[in-house]
This record gives sequence, C-alpha cells and structure tokens, in this order.
Amino acid sequence: MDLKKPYNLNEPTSGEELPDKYRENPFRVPEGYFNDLPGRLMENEAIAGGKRSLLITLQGRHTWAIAAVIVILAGIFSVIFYQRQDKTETEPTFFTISLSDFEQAYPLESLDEYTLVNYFSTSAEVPDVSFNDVFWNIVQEDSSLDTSDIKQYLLQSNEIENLLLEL
Amino acid sequence: MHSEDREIITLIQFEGTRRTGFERLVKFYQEQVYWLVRRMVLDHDDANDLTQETFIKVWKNLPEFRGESSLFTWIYRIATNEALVFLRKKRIRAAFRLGSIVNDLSVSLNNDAFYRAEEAQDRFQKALLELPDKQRLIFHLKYFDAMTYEQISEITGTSTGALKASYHHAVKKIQKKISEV
Repeated sequence: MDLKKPYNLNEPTSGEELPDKYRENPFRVPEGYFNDLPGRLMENEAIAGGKRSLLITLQGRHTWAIAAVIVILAGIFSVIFYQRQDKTETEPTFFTISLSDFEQAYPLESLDEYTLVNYFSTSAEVPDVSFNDVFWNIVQEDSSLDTSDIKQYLLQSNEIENLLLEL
Repeated sequence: MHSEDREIITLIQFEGTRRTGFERLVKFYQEQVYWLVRRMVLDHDDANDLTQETFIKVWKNLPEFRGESSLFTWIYRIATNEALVFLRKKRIRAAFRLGSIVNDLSVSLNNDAFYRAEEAQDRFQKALLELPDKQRLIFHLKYFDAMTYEQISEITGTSTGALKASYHHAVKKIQKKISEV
C-alpha cells in the first residue's frame, strides 16, 4: 500500500475500503446512562440556574416597575417607622409625667414646703423608695431650703433623672 | 430540516418554553453527541464530562442560536471543539511527562471496563489512535456517522476537497497499521 500515491478525488472514499465489522461499537455505557443524562443535565447548576436567571431576566425587563415598587415599599416602611419612633419619643418619661402633670395641676410656686415634700415622699406617681430617701436627705441636710429652692433643684438637677435611670 | 429540529427550535426561541425545548434537544441528540465524543476520547468518564459540557454550552448559547446552520451541525460543532480541545490538553500534559497521548489513550482503552473488543476490533481501535486528532475526527464523522463531506465541512470548517484527501489518507494509514500486525 503506497501512502505516497497522489490522492485522486474521483477515487471512492465512502469507507468501503474498510470492512463493515469495524463499524461495530466496542464501547459500552453504564446501565441507564442515557435515561439519566437529561435529568442530570437539567439539574446542573449552569442549567438549573436558568430558573433563577429567569427572575433576573424578569427583573431586567421590568426594572423600572420593580424599582418603583421598592421605592413605594421603602416609603411606606419609613413612614410607619418614623410614626412609631415619634410615638416612642413623645411618650413621656416617668419623671416628665409626674413633674409636668404635677406642675400643671399644682403650680409649685403655689405649694408650701410641706405639701411639696409630702407629694414627693408619698405620691404614688413617684413610687421609688430610693428617690424619696435621697430627696428627704437633701431636705433634712439643709433645713434652710424653701419651696423655690426645692423647685429649682428639682427642675435643674440631673441628679433626679440619674436616680430615676438607676432604678 | 428534521421535524424534531423544527419543533425544538420553535420551543427554544421563547423564554417560557426554552427549558422544555432544551430537554427535548438533549434527549434527541445525547446519544449522537456522546458517541462522537466517546470515540474521540475513549474513556467513559471523560466522554460523560464532555457531553455535559457540550450541552451546557448549547444551553448558554441557545438565545443566540438563529438557525443559520442546522441544529445538528451547530451541536456537533460544539461537541467536536470540546473533544479536540480536551485532546490537545491531554497531549500537552503527556508531553510534559515525556509520554505520548497515543500510549495514554491505548492504556485508557485497555483499562476501560466499558470497552469490549475482539482482537481485530481492538487492532482497528488502536490503529485509529495513531491518526492526528482532527484526521481521526474526520474519519469518525465519515465512517461511523456516515456524514457527507458537505456536512463534515460545515462542522469542521474544512473544505470538502481537504476532507476527502484527509479521509483517504486516514483509511490508508489504518489499513497499513492493521496489516502490519
């Protein structure tokens, strides 16, 4: 057989030169391979990911609509959030209620020392014992305190607020 | 165009039916793709990987498929590229080890639990391994898949004249190799 022989394009080349027995397939595949292959392929991340990319595609198509929905939801959320925060912030503290309510109902100027001390020592709205103890200590330590001094102390001193926070 | 191809192309053109179309495409072409690749790379696991890679590439490029070539030609082109690239890498790896891809493939054939060939068939298979990768590919497409030179030309991008010459020489080399033993 001469491999150097020039190739003739008219020569038959359909494979008849080789016996048909070689066409027989000597290779095998594991049982059920071709039944399982499509399922395995469809579960492949690159292809199954297509399900997720459908959402991404959807997002791409309706970007403006989705953005608008997000902005509206963010707006609603922020309104609700700030309303709740305002409510929380304007909710009077224990001290504010007691003092402002007390002042509104009984202007401190109009009260004598006995009434004032009695209020802070017995009022159910200031129920903490330690606060009362401290207050009494102050009054007892300085007998020269008059109503306006006590009022001034109560309004300016951070001590009371600190004491309340400690409770 | 094959009626199955027509239906698959219709399905894959629309996003909503693309997955269904692709599943049908896999079922319809899986065996042809697998056997083409398997004959080239011999090992089942390698063939399985390359078959899956082929279909993953098909899936990724489906939106760009415009039907300018037939579905069959397009898929075969991807599969043959996958196989040739794999063999090129294998050849380079073998060269680094100062080995030869022919030996590697021959060993792979001998150790393959899914390969059963009587003596003459085994000689024939080992003779095929002596062919350069692209010539072996052309031989497979012509001899086993009985494709026309025009179809092979579409897949490989080689002129029909060059294909005829390549196939002719492949047959002669195989005949010589078989007769040597």
